[in-house]
Amino acid sequence: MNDDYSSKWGYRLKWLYTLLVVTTLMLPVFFVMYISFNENGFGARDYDFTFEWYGLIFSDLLMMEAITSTLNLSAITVIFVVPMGLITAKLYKITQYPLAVISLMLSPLFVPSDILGAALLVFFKNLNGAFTLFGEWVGVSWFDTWFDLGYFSAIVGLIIYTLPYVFVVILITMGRYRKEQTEAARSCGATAWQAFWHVEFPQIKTGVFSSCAFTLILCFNEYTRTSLLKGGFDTFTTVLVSQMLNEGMSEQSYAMSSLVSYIAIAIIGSVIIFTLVRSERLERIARAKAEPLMAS
Amino acid sequence: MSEKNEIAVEVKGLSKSYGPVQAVKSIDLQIGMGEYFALLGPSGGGKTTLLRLIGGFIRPTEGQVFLHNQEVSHLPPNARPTSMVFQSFALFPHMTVEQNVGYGLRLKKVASDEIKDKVANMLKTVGLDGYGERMPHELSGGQQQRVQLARSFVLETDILLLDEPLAALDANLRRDMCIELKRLQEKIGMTFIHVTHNQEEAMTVADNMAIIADGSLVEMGKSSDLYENPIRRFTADFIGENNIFDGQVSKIEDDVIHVDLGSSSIAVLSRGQKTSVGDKVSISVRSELARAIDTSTSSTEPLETLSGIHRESVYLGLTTSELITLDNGQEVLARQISDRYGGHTIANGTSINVGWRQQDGRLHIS
Amino acid sequence: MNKHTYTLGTRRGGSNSTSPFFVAYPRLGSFISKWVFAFPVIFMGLFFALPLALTFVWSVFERTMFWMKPAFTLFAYENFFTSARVDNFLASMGHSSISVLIAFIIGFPIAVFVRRRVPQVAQHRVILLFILPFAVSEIIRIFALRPFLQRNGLVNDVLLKIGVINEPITAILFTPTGVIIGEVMSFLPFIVFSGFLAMEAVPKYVFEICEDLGAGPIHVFIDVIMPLAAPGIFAGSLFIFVNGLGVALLPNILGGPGAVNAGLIATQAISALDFPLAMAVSAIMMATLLGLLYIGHRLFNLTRILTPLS
Repeated sequence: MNDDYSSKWGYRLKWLYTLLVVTTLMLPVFFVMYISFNENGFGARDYDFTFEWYGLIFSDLLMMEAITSTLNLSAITVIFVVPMGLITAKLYKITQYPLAVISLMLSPLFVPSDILGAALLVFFKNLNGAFTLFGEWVGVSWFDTWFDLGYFSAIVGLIIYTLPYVFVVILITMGRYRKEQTEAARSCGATAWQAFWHVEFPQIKTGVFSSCAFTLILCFNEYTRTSLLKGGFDTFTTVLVSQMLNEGMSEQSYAMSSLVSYIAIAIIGSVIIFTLVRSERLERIARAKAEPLMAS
Repeated sequence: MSEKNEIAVEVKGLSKSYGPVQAVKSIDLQIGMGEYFALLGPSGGGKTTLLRLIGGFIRPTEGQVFLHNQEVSHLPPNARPTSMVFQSFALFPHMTVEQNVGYGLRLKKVASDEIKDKVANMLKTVGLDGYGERMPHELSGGQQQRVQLARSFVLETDILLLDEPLAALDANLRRDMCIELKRLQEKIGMTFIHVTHNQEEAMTVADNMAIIADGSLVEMGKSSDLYENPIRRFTADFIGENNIFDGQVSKIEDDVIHVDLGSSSIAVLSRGQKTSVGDKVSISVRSELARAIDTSTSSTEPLETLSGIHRESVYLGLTTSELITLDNGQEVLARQISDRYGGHTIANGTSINVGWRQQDGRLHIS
Repeated sequence: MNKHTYTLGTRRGGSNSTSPFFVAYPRLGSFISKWVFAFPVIFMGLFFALPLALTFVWSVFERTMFWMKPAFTLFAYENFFTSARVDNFLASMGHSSISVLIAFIIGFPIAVFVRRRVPQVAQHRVILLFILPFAVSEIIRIFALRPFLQRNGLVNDVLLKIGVINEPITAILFTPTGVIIGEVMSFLPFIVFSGFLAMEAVPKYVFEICEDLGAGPIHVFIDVIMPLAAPGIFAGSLFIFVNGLGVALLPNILGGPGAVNAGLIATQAISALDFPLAMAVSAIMMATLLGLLYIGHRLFNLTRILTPLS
């Protein structure tokens, strides 16, 4: 809140600064958008405005295939990681060892992508070797491909990457929830499951849905862990990198990543606007309701 | 109310352990139908655990819970004929008052018009007419607790468990709510089990109460009996303002027991308790029955007296407490209705006796 | 209220109250819920803590043609500490520290401003703005910095046009400066997030007291904000520092020959099939991280960060 004596201009200047920093951080994004509308592509001298590249996005078959498989990978990760984050947040509320839980869940934030990727890569290779040996010893080849680098290992890497974010977001939205509310629902006759859906979930669903969206975006855009743990050039980012290494990114790729950013900005923007509008509306209603009763 | 002889809640050998810690130690308890029952005791004494065992929120380590003579120990809370009112934070914050109160009926798939009617009636009963559209955070603490009560009443269950329902309210409001609770209970005729650490609250609401401390049942009975005639030393110490003297039985004459307090001897009625010479016992005297007596005046009736020195008078409004230090160093309180005009004041530091009628002293053998 | 019927079950409508299965086997329900709650912890223990702990073991294995075999040799460490790698690693620590400092100076005041001046309901929304850059993949964002920073790039163009410089600055891209700019651009949001969480530990009335006592902003920062918000600030700074050391993309795309960090050494070692070396670098990184966490905990008691979360 702005108090009565502080200068209006200082306040505005600080807002301006905040927005300026956000804009600066977004510059590379805006630049990609800018290139995506240039008929002559990246690095050209002349700038001719065109929508052509957006029309051609779907003609880049290699890229389309990669995007499909990346979306699959991201969706599977979301399906696993969001319930895991929810469970861990609940565990954090009831456990006798909250410190141990939270340290384990948040420490992946502090392990850089390449280091975790390298360790997991060697881990899976070892696991694979051990299981193959075990299979040979038992005399079956059934275990041979269990821990091959591929979808499974990549999903494990992505879960570890995104779990801390999901956990924190859901934990923050659990703020108003108390376990007495679930107990009250139980004593009203609800089963454990009904109590969860009627009482707990409505309060944390913002957190659950926003962490779904955030996880999807993070996984879709992740390069290091995916490339180390999955191998091959068949996901969105790995195809981009192979393009960079060869003839440079295709113009469609700029259009594609711009498209992704439009979607993401639209989602985040509408969340911001929606919640702001809603909280103002609720406040108005509350005030309107409170007034006649206060008067009486 | 009616049918006092019928039993609503019975608990047999109920225990709950958390690893090596025993929160509830083999408690046996019976609560009659339509009774207002209080579980009173110091914080951390196991009374809330006992209540939650009855409600089904905690699974007992040993023992059984019977509600209306049916064993329910294996049932979850939603399958028991109980409902619970919590200390606070237990309203559903995303639902309006109306939705909160109607939630249980919605689960039972009651028609929505009927829910609306019942909820409106119930809100009227608890004095929240016209608040149905509000959100919980728009209500005061007292109003929130009323909503919780309405949410439980509307289900027409017959046992209501109240877990420190007034602890989050300020003192004045708490007193009003106590009387309100008592009135509602009489009106609705449910069995209430009310957990509290506040003895005044328990005295106000309860017909019967149990003192729970250290995981065990200390004493149980009518509220007035526990106040006026406690059997256990702990009860005397916990309820009311009592002076307690520890000593040894020196002589027994029928039902008059003489207790040696070291420097002097005091006679007390046995109240049917069996003792023998040499037993370690205690005597308690309520402060309002102990009197500070000037050594010069002679009393008209026979009193048990101890001598000491007057320390100070503490004026408390309605009453004034005299603080007296006995010869052995123990401090004793004597309290009477303040009398600013007719009463004489005692100077600090004067020698004084403290005395009480023999029948006002109470013997405790445990 | 009328009289009730005192029988079990009728009020509750019998079977809808609870599943008969769990009434019959109540212990199964609690058995399942116990394992459900344990699952994420077991998962993280198995696939996160265990592999990272094992890096210390694998780092002393012996390198074979395509893989490695159990042994005890310090060859990988020798390889790391007697080559240019150790110099690069130390230099990248320096660059990373500079990035932390810059990111803190730019980003932390925003966290303070949002907590102090922005209305409560809007605070989270403003912070949410800082996740917008994550909408675009990190590699594209970093790659897109190149045209800004190169010799005929946007920065030089603008500076030349407004006449600040006469000659284009060549020493941005493919130098440590480029890497530092990239790190600040990539990690700045995290100092805003952690600063925002850390400022939860500074109650609003503290600012009012400071105003009342007439303390200037610098005094407020040093005497009040720093001690109270230190754990959160430390966590945010540590995040940027270790990622500056460990993210290979940044020096790979923006850095020149001298700018090599631990992440890049590790990935290069993996490409060269020198797994023990990769593991040794990972182990050194983990040791650095744990050491810094230990120091931070001793200095600031990091458990204080968790207060707003519980």
